[in-house]
Amino acid sequence: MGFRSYLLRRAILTIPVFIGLTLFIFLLARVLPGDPARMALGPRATDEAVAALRIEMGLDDPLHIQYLNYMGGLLQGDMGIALTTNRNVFTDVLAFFPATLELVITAMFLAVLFGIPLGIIAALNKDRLGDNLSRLIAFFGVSMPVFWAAILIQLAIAYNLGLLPPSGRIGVDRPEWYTGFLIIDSIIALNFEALRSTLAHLALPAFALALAPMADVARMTRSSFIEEYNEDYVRALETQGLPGRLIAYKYVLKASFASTLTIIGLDFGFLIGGAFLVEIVFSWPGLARYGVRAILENDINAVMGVVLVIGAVFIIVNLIVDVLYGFLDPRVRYGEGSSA
Amino acid sequence: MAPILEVEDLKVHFDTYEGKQQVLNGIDLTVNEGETVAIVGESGCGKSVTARTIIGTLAQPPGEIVSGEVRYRGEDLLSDRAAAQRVKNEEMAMIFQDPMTHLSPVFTIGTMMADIINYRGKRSISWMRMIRDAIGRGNRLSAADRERCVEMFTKLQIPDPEGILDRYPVELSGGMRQRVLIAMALITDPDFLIADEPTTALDVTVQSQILDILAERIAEQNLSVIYVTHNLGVARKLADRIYVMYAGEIAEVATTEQLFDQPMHPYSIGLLESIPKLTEFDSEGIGGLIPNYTDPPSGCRFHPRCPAYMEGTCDVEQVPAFELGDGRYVACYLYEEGMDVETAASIADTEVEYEDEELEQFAAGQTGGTPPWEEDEP
Repeated sequence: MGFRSYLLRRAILTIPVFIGLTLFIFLLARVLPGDPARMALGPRATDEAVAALRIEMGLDDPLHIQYLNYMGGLLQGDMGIALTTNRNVFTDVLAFFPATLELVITAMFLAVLFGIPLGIIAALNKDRLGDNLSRLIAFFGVSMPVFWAAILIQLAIAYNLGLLPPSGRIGVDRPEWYTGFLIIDSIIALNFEALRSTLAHLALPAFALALAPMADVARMTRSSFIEEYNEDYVRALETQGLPGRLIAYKYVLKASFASTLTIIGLDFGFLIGGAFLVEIVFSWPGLARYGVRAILENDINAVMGVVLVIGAVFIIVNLIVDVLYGFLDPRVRYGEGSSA
Repeated sequence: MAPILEVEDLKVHFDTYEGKQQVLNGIDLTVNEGETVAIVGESGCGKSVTARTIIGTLAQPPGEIVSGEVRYRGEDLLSDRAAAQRVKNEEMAMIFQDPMTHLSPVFTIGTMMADIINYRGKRSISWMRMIRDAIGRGNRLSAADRERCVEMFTKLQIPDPEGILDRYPVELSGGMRQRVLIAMALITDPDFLIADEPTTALDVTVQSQILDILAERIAEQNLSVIYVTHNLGVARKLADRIYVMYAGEIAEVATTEQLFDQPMHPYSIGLLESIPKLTEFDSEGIGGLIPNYTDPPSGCRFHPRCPAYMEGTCDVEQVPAFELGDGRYVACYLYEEGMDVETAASIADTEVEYEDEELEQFAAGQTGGTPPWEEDEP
């Protein structure tokens, strides 16, 4: 079986997962206590007004009709009106999500960029200085609560040293909106002042957010690298007289990368949900912060929208991870679990 | 014939939780130019450790080379690391036991062949070069090298030798993978080959094909070979001389004809008698198990299992190797230095007698390895 059919099969498999996700979110929203119409109108509205709104919102329809209506709306980019902003949730998501995604992708990029070399250094110097240093950094990364790390970083680098801006996404006029990703937008607009400012604003929150996944990636890379290094084929390559660097960074790294990839995928989904702590500390106008506010204000449409988007990103990231598995390891493509 | 490899008094210990295991206890071994030497013995008697120490892939720790010399064309590989590296890179090659685990699962055969041909023996490789390889530029097999690979595959009777370069190991059967491993060892044109039970993991018909192919390659490329096996039939087929090994010591060294004609060491006799014969239902064998290496028996390590055990003699000191009249060496007090073959043979006949009971014990108690009679005759 070729790579293309593997890819196709994996992609098709995500459709039922996505439908399951919408169903789950929909049902969850319907079984939650509280009447959305009552919440929308406030405690002083008359019962008649609430009943009228219930009919208008379709809450009196049978559940499956409601679900179909919900799905129909989704397909047209309609997620219902958010009470807090009085706009369609879809518009809000488009407005806020790029900020979060930009932050999380940058953080993940940093985590991988530093985590993998850290893990390899640790593995190649097992139980020696390099390993212990890397372990120290990793333990610091996982054991530090992200909001605490964020506040410390903000205090030290932004306030005390004044090296980087303490909050917000950009310090100059923002470039014209193409994608909502300021890095991409400012490159499209060839506005390098905006690009510089964007990167400066992004650096601290992304770094704070990257600490925990970086530690995960480093530890996972280390352990799978060591495990893979003990495989028989590495001994065989050694007797073939290949240079050590080639064996380590080509053969062992590629074979050991699958488990690192799993962690990257999981952490990515986790970061999108968990980014709000960092977003609040750095006043980052992102979707996570929007979602937390929606939860606190009982804004059911907005909560559903945010959860759906985070879930969808999680599905997509895991699809990408699965595809990369197949790309890295032919055994996955051939549907074989191990070499035996 | 000049010796190409001389191993002298090699002692290797392993650090384990149970203590220090004295796995190799003074191995002497010589391989002459163009000669095939087999090391035979039960599973767990240190054959593979010997092979790995020679080619330098012994894991240290837990292994520890306590003493000894491994001289390849006069250079001691154990003390001179640069020489060891050079010899390993340029002159030696090894074929491994299990073809399922000794090929990288995530690269194609072609990629591995290309790396071996292009980078074998290189001390280091630049990052630029690796990145270029990774994005698919460079490190392709040149037309000539591709031709060489295909030629080698053809000689090893691999079907579709052209197409196999683009295959992953997972797409190949065990027999094919073993052939690929052999091709990888031979493509670099080594002088010295170490084969560590390369046919054990294969089924009988494939085993005999691989052996034929290997024998042909050895003859054609004039290789000097150490062939490690627990299968006496295989040793008989390939080897010029045989080292019978027991519990980290060499029990007997003889040419293949000498050994199969008249084994002298009680252990060799037991091994040969363990081979099932089509004409008899009862085969005889050796009782007991390979000893514990943390606390090996004093004197001759075989004495607890030996039918000709002499109290007060065999369990006192390590037995020296006595050279017999026909040039073979036997480490056993039944014989004396320079004893002629007829006398020795009559001693072997009268003194060494295995009983059926011991055989049954052997069969019942055997857990560590495969009893010799269950092994497939190629």
